[in-house]
Amino acid sequence: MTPNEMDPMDDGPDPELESLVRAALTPDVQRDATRARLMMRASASKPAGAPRPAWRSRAITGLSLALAASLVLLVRAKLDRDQFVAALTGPKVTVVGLTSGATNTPRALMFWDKATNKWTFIAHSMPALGAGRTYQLWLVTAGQKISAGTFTVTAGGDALVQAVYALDPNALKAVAVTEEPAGGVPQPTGAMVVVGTVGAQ
Amino acid sequence: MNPTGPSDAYSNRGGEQASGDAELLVRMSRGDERALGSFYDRWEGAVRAIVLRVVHEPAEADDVVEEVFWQAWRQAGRFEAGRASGGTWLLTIARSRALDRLRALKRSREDAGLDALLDSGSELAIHGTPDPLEAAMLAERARVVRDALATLPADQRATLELAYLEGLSQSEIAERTREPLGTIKTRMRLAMIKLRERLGVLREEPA
Repeated sequence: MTPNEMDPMDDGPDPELESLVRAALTPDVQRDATRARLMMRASASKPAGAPRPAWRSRAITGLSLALAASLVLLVRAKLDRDQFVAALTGPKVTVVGLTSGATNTPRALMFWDKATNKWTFIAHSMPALGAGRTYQLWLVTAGQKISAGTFTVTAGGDALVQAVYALDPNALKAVAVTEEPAGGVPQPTGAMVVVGTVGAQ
Repeated sequence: MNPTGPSDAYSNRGGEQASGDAELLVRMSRGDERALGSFYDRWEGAVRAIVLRVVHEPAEADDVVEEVFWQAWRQAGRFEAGRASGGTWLLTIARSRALDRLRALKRSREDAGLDALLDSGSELAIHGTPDPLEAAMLAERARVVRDALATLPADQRATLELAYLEGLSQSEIAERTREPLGTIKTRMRLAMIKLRERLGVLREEPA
């Protein structure tokens, strides 16, 4: 078939095909963000008595005292949409994708808005944690592994963490998540679950 | 992100998929978040396509997609497997919520263009209840288009993104990319032909 034999424009608009194309062009990060918001609302809506995901407890343990002053963890049942989108799509946002070597892989993205020092971390398909265990998020620079807090995940393996922390715009080398004892640790000791280096998308 | 839509919908016409959806909805009604995640991964592409057909702005459509699955989560206990497939039920919700949003936008903006859209044939296409086959096929078509987009040459895909994500006209794309209008038109045409060819296989498949 050649373009001359079948010109889609000759047939007039095809709303169904166009909507399929627009849906298919939707960036994965947008689908993931919608999924994360949905899962967060679902977690928050569970009836009393149902198992509640611990990550809603907005754990802020595991931070050094020096960081605690400048690092604020925000986990909200319903994020302000405009702020959320801005934190993910602003002109000075750096995106770090974190992956795992395992099959059925956990996936995570960290959005770093250098204009506002806002960090947004979205993950899903994270393995369930054992009792007394937590995930810990690390900002890796040339000389330091800075704890960005601990978190746990929903039954579906989803997590959404927002933080505000000022870091030298050129200092970040990688973002990593390790599994650690509940409460977190000053320096990583556990298995690396996902990791992403800056610029390696 | 998992592939959009169930991969077996094309081959078995949604039989296993329908029972899988019913099971997911039962689990959702019991508060199983993992089932909601699976349901989202399975149907997000089809739901988004339906919503985008009515609500053209991506940010608004994104919000509606979330609301559709939120309603499914809240009302999963009301789903009756004997009356409809899970996909049919979900896509009916998607159409209703998309029309609600379009009407709300129309009220807030008094936009004549939205009047025209509500009056146009597109509303006819989104009314009525989809049957299980239609729901399964839409999920499959969403998956096929997504796969096909990944195989397009980069320049064709980029042109489609400017047209459908940014809403630029072909002339505006030519201006933005500093390329001849004829080149842009050719790219769009070749890309759409390829997508139609891939979908055409599904359309011609005997029911």
